[in-house]
Amino acid sequence: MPEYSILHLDDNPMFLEQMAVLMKFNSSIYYRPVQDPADAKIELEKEMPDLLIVDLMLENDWDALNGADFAEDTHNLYPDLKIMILSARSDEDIRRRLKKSIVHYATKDFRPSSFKKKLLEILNGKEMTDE
Amino acid sequence: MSEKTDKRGIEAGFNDSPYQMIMAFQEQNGALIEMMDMLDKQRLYDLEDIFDKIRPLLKEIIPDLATGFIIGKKEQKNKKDRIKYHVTFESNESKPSLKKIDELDKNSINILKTAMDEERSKHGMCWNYIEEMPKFIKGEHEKQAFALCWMCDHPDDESLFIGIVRDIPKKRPFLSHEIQGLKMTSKIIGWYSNYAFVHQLLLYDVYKRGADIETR
Repeated sequence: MPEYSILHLDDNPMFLEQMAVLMKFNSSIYYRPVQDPADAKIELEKEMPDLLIVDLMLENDWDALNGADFAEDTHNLYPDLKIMILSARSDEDIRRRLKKSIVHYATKDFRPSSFKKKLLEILNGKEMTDE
Repeated sequence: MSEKTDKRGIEAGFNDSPYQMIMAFQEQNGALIEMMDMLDKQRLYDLEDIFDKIRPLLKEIIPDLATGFIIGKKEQKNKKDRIKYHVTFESNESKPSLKKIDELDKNSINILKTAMDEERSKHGMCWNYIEEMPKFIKGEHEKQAFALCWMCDHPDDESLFIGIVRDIPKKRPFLSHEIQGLKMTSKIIGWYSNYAFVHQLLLYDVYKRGADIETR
């Protein structure tokens, strides 16, 4: 029986496939990938996850505004929901903007072992530090 | 999953697909190894010469590189010329060149100083399309992507940083794996640069001591 639920929004299907494989490291994780913010909203209403992972550049949005807006709006709607950014962008201004809305900011070039460790820390409610 | 799953990788406009990133890492690794071999043959501390040699590799590590520069900052607060340009290299020029700091306005210098202070604690920073960042090249395009990375501290109280700029019409932000590439590049050049600098200082010292003994 899964202990933790993770909802992951990313428009890149290949990356979601890779993450689905990575998430198998822990059988207590129930991983739900979605490609569209609208689908993510439906999934949130259906079942609240323990962690929401959000990509920033959704649908060729080079300004990375769609993902950032989605993270902020979701935080305002569900202030207790843990939100983590997982993006190929590491811009200083985006990091600063999202600091109050998220629990962690990770980039897609992560080291798998460190990422898994961090994920468990977040799910277990340990104190988080920015990557 | 939706219909979008049928399109994959770069065909669907994804620059951050796992395959794309693995290819980029492989390119970076190969270029870094070549760069280390090149630096191994370099005997003198000469940043212009170093960057002249490694520039083709830098362009492979960081695709679409428009301008790069090495900038130094003296830590002493009372120094007038705390910020100093060492080398500027542009993709369309055959040789790296020197650019004087007075070509930058006061606001640009202040932004750079703050960025350099902040960078020391973060190692690898980037700003994609931030208008308030200084304009290092007078390109046609308003939006530029800028990244900054610490290189080394020299024993003469100067910290060196490497900065790079992308300036192309189609939006091309710096992605995290590219910043990692820059970080590795800057550390390798920094370690080499520091080694060459200190080595030359010691050689000079040894030579001077020998000359002093002879004249006694």
